[in-house]
Amino acid sequence: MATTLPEGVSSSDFDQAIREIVKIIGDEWVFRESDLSPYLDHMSAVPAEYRMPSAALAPADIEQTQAILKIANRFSLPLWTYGNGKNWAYGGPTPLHAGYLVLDLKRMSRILEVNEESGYVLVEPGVSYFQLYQHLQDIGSNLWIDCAAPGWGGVIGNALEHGAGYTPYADHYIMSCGMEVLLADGSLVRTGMGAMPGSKAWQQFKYGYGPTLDGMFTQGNFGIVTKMGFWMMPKPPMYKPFMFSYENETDLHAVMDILRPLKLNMIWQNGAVGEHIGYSASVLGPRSDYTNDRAPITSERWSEIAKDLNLGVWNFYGACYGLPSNVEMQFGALKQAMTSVPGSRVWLEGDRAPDDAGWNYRAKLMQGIPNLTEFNLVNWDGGGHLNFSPMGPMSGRDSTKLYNLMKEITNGYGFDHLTEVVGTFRGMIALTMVMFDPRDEDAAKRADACSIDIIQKSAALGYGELKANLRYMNTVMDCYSGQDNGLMKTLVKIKDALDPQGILSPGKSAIWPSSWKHSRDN
Amino acid sequence: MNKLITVALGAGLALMLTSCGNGGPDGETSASAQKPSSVPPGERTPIALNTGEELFNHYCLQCHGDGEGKPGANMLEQKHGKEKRLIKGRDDLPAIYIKTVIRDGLLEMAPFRFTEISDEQLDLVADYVRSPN
Repeated sequence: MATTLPEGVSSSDFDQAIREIVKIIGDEWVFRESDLSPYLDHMSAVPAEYRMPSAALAPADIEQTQAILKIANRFSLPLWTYGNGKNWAYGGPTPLHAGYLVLDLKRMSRILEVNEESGYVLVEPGVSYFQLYQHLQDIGSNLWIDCAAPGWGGVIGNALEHGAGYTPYADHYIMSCGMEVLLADGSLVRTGMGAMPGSKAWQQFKYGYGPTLDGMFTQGNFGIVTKMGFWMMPKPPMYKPFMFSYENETDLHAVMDILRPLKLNMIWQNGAVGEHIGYSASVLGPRSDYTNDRAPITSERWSEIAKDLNLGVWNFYGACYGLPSNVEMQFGALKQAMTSVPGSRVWLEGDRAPDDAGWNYRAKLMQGIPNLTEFNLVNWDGGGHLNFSPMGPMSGRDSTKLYNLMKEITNGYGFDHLTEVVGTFRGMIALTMVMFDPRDEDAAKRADACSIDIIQKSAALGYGELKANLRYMNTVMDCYSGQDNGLMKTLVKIKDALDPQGILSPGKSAIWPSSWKHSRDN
Repeated sequence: MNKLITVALGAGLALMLTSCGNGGPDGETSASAQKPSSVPPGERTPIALNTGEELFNHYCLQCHGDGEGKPGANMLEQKHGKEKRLIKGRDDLPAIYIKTVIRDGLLEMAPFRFTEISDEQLDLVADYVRSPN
């Protein structure tokens, strides 16, 4: 298999660089040619080979990574940093451009500290949710983790991508505290209190002194995060999961207006996840369980499916946490408000069938028990899937408008609309999955066009996309063009200052140094 | 809130944290309600993944285990019928096939990198998958 080289790098320079890297990390941790297959993404709308890396490098520690950075700077090698998880729907471990080298940080997988007293952990980028959960179980910890729905995700990677979980600690970046970051020139920086030698509160207080830098190392390419602290939720005395279900598609409007004050006042403590029946059904079975018709499933059919599954067309999951008397009081308030919509039903532990995978995995996630049940979604229609998260205000009007838009666009391209709305502290995410068979060239093309439409039409209504598959990073960033592209101009200034050659993940979130002479396509 | 109340609330919660059952749906969290311990900074924390069974349980069981909500098992049942729902015990599959699918992925099945599972560990997993139940 011929190696696809990074743009602008000669074959002799590349070979020389690889020889030097092999001396540092060992031949067994430099992957080339046919060994690169696990770094490809077979679940996106473009062929996996489109992003074939030239090599993957797996350093064991910071010192080895610093040595690689020196070589990368000397030979202008673009390094695409990747941590632990799978990242399907967003590009997997694969780099933005063919020829980039993947910097695989999985070997850096130490849980450096578990502090029961202050309720935090300090971890390296290779630590997965499964690993952290297992470790806390093994040591008899009273701390809960908060995990993404796929438990194989990376604790740091997910937080850096602004990912979320399902307990009250669901916003992973907000619940982080303190980073250690390697810059492109090999220098090391600790953020917040960690900058002070001998600091006793690196993971207890975020800010330290001076400007706060942490956010700029998320969803970008200004540094490699090598350590990160996370606040962990102490296991509460009582945990009470619940679900409210609603009969009609149009109930979303009323429910979201009821939900908003409950979230604002923190009576609903965790993220409020409202599954449309399409999302619920896809976790429970493949598309062929529900229809043989290739046309998108209609609202009428979804209503029938909801009845068959003993669910609502909308199903809102949440939980109460705390002292038993408080939990019962809070739940009483929630129940009174959320069941004021005609036809609503409330479900508690024991109300669903014991083998209801949908309830069971939600009840696990909301207490930080990692699993992979939600990955059943991928069985829906061939394995291809692309995720979109347009964000709007948590209101009935906006939720309904966004939901209808997601439905109209996906159905218009011949796909089912699999959507869940998630109430955060103030905003609402209309998480939508475009499901397709990547072996079907026409379906892949439609999925690609559908994705661009979702991003652009949402933005035209004022709803910005929060994350993006590699393919759509430029499209999303183009939407954040206000103040004469003020955001992008600032990001480029920072990139030029910290990484003028573009060694670190060039093009991530559409950020390139101004000197970049190569392709900016994605 | 004065300091005395704060201390009392903290102590009360701590007592409840260590003495109350959790009430989780499957009791998984209540098992850990014991004296907390801390791991000092700098301690290495590898997971014990020395046998095929340990590796299978860590990497494969959540998709290919028994019970509801397992995407790999569900897909195998959909494609090949109920009797082939579980991958464990499938001695009809050549070891090289199992290892190739884990390394390269196959449609809905995700690939696993060398940094996640080494070639030696793949051999152990394939042997375990093919071993009788």
